[in-house]
Amino acid sequence: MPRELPDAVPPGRRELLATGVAGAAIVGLAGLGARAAWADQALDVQLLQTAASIENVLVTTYESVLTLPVLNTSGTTRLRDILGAARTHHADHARAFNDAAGRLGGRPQTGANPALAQTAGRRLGDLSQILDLAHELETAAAQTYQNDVGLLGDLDARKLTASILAVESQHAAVLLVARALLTANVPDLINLEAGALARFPAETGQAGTPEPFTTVDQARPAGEGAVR
Amino acid sequence: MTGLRDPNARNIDRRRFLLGGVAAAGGGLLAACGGGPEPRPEDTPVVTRPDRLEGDLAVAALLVSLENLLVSVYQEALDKRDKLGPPPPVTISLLERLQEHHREHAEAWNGILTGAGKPGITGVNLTVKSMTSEPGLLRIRDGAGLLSLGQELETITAATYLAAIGAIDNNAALKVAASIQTVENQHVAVMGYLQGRPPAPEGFARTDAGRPLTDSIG
Repeated sequence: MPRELPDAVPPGRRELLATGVAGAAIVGLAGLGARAAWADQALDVQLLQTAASIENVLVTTYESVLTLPVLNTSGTTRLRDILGAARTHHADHARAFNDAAGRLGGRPQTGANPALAQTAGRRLGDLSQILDLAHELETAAAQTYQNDVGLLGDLDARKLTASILAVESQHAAVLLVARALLTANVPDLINLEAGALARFPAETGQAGTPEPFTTVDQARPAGEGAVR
Repeated sequence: MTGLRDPNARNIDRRRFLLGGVAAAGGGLLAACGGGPEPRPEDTPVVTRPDRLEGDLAVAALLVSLENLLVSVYQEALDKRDKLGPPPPVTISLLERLQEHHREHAEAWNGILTGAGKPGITGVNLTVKSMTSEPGLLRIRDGAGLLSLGQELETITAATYLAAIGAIDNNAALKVAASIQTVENQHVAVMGYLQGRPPAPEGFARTDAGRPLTDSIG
């Protein structure tokens, strides 16, 4: 069996099913089938709203870091382009998650995920801190969506989440490679000028993909970004 | 779209995809399930298709075939590295890491197959091999070509995983697929980055390049 597989029953779903979604008691419903369907849809809405809240944090974080002087030098052109593209992706993701929540009867989440907003609020100094923060947020997003794939009842929501999960994984991987180049003391290679690949330290490429399976230990709780 | 399930379909009949018995068919793979004579070692390699299995097991078989193909392609590339420049150390070490990952991925899916009483799969995806990896390996002359071919194959695999996530019914298998899909996309991004390409060119991953259950395995 592969190592470090996700838990069989994610705690978020277990908690929500035990207490009733969004704190409301599940009463007066005709049968188990109807109750299960209602509970599943309400849970899906919470998951999608939480996802949107995470994307909102990523958007504002990238908007903020892209104004920093360290990312506006000739040596960080490529990194700036990558982060700028990521910012656009996350805005699109937030819209898509909110559209999906709306399709299931939920309201859009335009606010920031409270826990990740606190993380993103820390003061940033050098490029390594920026990359570390960006990677932390992308990883929280990716692991949350990986967890959500096993929780979502609505198939279209599952497919959407998986397609966004893929992109967050790509973002996270590149940030790790850039970080590895900083650690190896070759920041000039981040721009990857022609012929520079031969100078990359051997370990810097594989740094972007450290493990054969990803986990969900950094996934945000299911209802953390739900609209109250 | 050549994925596992029509992405536009709604109200998919999930009962079709319950983990169930193997469809009656010939072939050594299925013969090993007790449906026919045992293959003789001297027989030529047997070609089969994932859709000879049912539901989630068919998906698992397709994914194993792609993982096995990647393992073999990277081995072939590593074996002929001296004829490719050789490629820079960062490329070689990346291929070694990716190959290790794909071995573990194949082992994970084979664990699911054998856990369901079906034999594990050691064959590769012959359809992708003949269409993409075989001609690609003949064409490459340097490390850049190797990264390009690798990214193409990783993209096919990642797209197939994305389609699989929309098709798998068993929740445990779904979680395995999700935990691997992330890694395949890491591979795609790193290979793109090392080629100077946008590592995440689109905001939403697509299933266009995903493989169907009718691919051949052998």
